[in-house]
Amino acid sequence: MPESPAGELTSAQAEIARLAPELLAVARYLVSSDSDARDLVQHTIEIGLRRLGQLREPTKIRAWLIAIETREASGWRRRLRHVLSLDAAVHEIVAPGGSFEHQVTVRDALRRLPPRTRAAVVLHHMAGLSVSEPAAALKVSDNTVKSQLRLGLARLREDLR
Amino acid sequence: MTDLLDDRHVLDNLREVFRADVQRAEQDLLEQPSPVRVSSAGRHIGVLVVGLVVVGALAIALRSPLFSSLSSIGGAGSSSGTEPSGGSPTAPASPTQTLALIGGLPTNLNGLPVLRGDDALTAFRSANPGQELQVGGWLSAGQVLSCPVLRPGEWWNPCLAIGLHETSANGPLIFVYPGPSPIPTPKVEAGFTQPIVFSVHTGDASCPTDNLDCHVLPVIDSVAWIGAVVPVPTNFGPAPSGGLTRADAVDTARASAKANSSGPLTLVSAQAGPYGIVGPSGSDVRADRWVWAVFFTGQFPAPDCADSACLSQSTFLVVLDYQSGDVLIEESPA
Repeated sequence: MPESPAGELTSAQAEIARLAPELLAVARYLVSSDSDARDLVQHTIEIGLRRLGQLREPTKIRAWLIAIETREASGWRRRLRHVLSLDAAVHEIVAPGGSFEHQVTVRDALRRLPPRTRAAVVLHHMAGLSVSEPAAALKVSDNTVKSQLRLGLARLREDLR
Repeated sequence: MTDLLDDRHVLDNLREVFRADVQRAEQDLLEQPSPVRVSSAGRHIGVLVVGLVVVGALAIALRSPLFSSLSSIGGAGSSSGTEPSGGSPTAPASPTQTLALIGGLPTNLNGLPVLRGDDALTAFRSANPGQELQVGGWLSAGQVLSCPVLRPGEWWNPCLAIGLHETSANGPLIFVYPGPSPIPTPKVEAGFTQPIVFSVHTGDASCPTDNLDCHVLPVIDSVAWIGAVVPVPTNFGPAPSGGLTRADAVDTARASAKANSSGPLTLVSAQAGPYGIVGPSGSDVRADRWVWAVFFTGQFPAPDCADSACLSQSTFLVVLDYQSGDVLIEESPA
């Protein structure tokens, strides 16, 4: 753990805990199985806790953690392939409230997007990160993310027509 | 779906879906706080390694009375270890006692064997409920564990488990549980490790009757012995004889990387050494296992990529067993 005043650390840790559901919601779009998504969240939180001392702007802890999660997702499956058996099935996410059918349609359309386009759409349009934050996490330029966002929206428009 | 014909409607729908996703995730985390399958700890040790080395400090902030006293014992112990006295399981206790150590851990304490690794897992499964056992291993940083969301009283949640490495150079982990009445356990800083022996029992009376997995979990009764905090070793001696040549390692790794890339590959480096020095963190490969770590650059797909549309310039790491050439890890970006 980083050396920080106890109160600050506790507050940051509590904030990380509070963000776990959002991290899981994002993770489910970044990796293919629910168990992978949960493992990814755990891994992200671990890294977050260890690097708390490097977080310069505490108000950006949410974007910082989602960026960590996105970067980790990139190396995730290949590393695990040799360590454990991944679940083959992708669990459908049944969300409470709203129109279930409608939400499933949107999620299906999202899953058909190329992974990087999907990541850009999820991080920017759904999780609310700025364009530069997913760009940094995905190690691409802002313009590339903007292109992916345009492409993603166009594909979604067609898919949902 | 005619209302989704313009971007604004698409965006509104995406936000609505994400709000529902977050609600669902909240519910899931409350219902199933652990991502780790406990049912066959041996088979899923890899899962445990990756999924459990987590959130150590969250226990601390969120719920664990255990944490407030963790740091007080972090540096306890001597070069040959101490046996805490009977009254307080973690008091820095009795005078140093000379013990026969193998691999830095005593083999026997108080007339009972100190179990390690697979022997311990076997004993946990076959022990009678409440039977006293002793299990030893090496603590390392980040292994006092918890989860962000836990239901009160669920001490059997694997996220609360404490990992014990087989050796001071990491390696396979087994897990012990603080149980319904946690006692303070040491905290080890990054880069350090500490040998420890726990007195444990299985078949804890507080396990739910329908949770059969819980009954084979080792619950900590006390710290039976604790050794000195030492740096994780980095000097692992010379390479074993008969290993792959650099050319062979590069060829093997290139074949592995090519299977993941349609474009040309550029070799960046090929380094032989103990995994703990040349390999990436986050795996259960023993730190003292000799490996080849071979890096390439090239066009590699993002994870879950179904077609070539998402190829991008990236790095690729292949870790091979130094002697057999077996692929241990592939990772991109490396």
